[in-house]
Amino acid sequence: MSKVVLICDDEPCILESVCHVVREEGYNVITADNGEDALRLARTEFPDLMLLDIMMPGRSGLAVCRELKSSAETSGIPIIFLTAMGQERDAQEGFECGAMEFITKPYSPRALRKRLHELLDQTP
Amino acid sequence: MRRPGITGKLVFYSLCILVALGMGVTLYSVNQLRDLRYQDTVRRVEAQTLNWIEANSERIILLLEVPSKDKPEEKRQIEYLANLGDLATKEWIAYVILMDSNGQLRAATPIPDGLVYYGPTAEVQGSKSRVMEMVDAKRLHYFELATPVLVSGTGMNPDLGAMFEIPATSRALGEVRIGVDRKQFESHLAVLIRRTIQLSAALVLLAIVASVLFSRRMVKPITLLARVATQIAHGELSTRASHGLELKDEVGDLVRNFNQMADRLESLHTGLEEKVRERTQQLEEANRKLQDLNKLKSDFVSTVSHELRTPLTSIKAFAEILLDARSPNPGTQRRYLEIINKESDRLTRLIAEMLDLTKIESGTLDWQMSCTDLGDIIRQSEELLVPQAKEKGIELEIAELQPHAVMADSDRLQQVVNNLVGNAIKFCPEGGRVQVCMERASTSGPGNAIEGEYVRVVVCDNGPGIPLEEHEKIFERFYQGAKRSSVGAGAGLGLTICRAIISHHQGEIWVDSAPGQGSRFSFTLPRRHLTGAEFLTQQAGR
Repeated sequence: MSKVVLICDDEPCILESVCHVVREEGYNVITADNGEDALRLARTEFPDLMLLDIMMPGRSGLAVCRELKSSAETSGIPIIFLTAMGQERDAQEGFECGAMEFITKPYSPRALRKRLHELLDQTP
Repeated sequence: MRRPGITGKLVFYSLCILVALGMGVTLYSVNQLRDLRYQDTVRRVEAQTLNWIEANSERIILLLEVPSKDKPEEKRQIEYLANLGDLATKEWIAYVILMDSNGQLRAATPIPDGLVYYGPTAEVQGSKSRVMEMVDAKRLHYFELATPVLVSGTGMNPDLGAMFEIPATSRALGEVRIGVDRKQFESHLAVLIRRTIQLSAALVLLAIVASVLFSRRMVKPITLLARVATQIAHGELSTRASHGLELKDEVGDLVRNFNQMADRLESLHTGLEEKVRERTQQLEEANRKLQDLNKLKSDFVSTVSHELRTPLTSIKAFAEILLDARSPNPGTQRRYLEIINKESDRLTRLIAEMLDLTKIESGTLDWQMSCTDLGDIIRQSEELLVPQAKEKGIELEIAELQPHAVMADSDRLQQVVNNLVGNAIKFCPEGGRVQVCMERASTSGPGNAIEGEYVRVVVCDNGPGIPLEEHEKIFERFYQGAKRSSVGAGAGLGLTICRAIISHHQGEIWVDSAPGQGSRFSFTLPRRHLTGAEFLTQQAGR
């Protein structure tokens, strides 16, 4: 059974591009365009990986990450931030929340593919 | 060690002066007293002697002039005289000697042993006697009065003189020497001197006490003033002198003037402190504002970078996806290229809007102000946006427009109307309706509510509406609403620019809306009355 990746971004074009890249690599994709939906889907679907935007209207990506990490059943989901907030301080905050990776937009689909394989194909 | 105070000094000096004065006065009085007493004594003794001579003249003549002392009765008288009778019993008289004209001793009371001449003493004016000082073997001093016995001076009977064949000349028959005990004289004098000194001392003491009391009374206001001055010097500026205010002399002036001076000093000082505090507050305020501004700037840069990165991300991602496509699907390829194109436009628009806003806010935009008919502008907007509305099946309804002249930059105003109508079309559901109308208004709007002649343009739609808490937020930069529409989201600067443009024209822009009831955007501009020439130009321009 192929791995499931949850992608959350409020920008439809970016969401579409990320979906395209992840699907092309053979993973199943679930999408959300806001923090609340992402949180709800993570708790019901238990994805193998999450790609989270930070700056979204309503609940921010950082808040979603913190909530997931604070609960035992969701704390094991690896989280990659994919954000346009490119300052070092933001990255540091992301890692402090428990993120595995911090990718700054504009991202390179090639690099993203590589990271997906590294993270998903190592875990049994 | 305590330094001598002004009271101490004053008391010390007056003490010196008083003691010197007392001593001088006492010495002088003692001298005078001694002199007077001496003269008085001499005169009294002389008077007694003369009385005695007069009373005993016969016997004296007999004694002095008659050589023989054979007659028993005469002898008795001489003996009696030789005892010198009651003269020796008089006060202070120590001894009496009767000498004849040859200096022979004829009679005497017991004479102290070894009596010799000691020295002269002061003459007494008006006295016939010589006075000298004698000293005896026991070193006792005597004043000795030598009173001549004169025929004329004795008051002797002339017959008697004739009887004895005494020539009525002024020749002295002899002299009576009276010794006055000096010690006794001195002891009497001493009592007087002692009393004088006591009196002087008592007076000086009294004067000193008075001087101390007086000095302290005089100096007290000055001492207290000095204390107050010290306190002020140490920073207690509210201290005032309270003693001596009622005095009507120079000290009173000093105290009053000092207090006035202290008042002025204090008010100057507090004024200065107040000023410093005020300035500090202003500086702090300015500093806070600068910090806020700095934070705002930093936030702005961060937001701008985020907003620029968003379209760039799509462009970059889709470009790379297309480049790496393993099995190109023409449909997908075209769709991705369209996205790239659309996002490039968005990026361009964003940059243009940001530049616009920066120019307006920094005041560097070159406004082309002219007399403009607002109706024209709305009509031009209609022409531009009707195709877009038709595409979405939206009915764009423009009310009949009366000419309304305003002073404005027509291009910028066009931008505002396009933005509002464009937004309305964008957020309306398909088949919705957008209405534009224009009317006169008497106030600038709900924000400033400035009364005057205004023209108001209203753009209504029956889109999703905007909750009340977002009515102001939507005019902020990069605010795109909590529920971002997926259809061609803007950069979030459009309304911010509209507000900046309308504000520049002394108008207002606001929104009335509620979720589910559509939105109603309004803006006002001050009306302008056309001159005849302007009206003709307007008409010709149509």
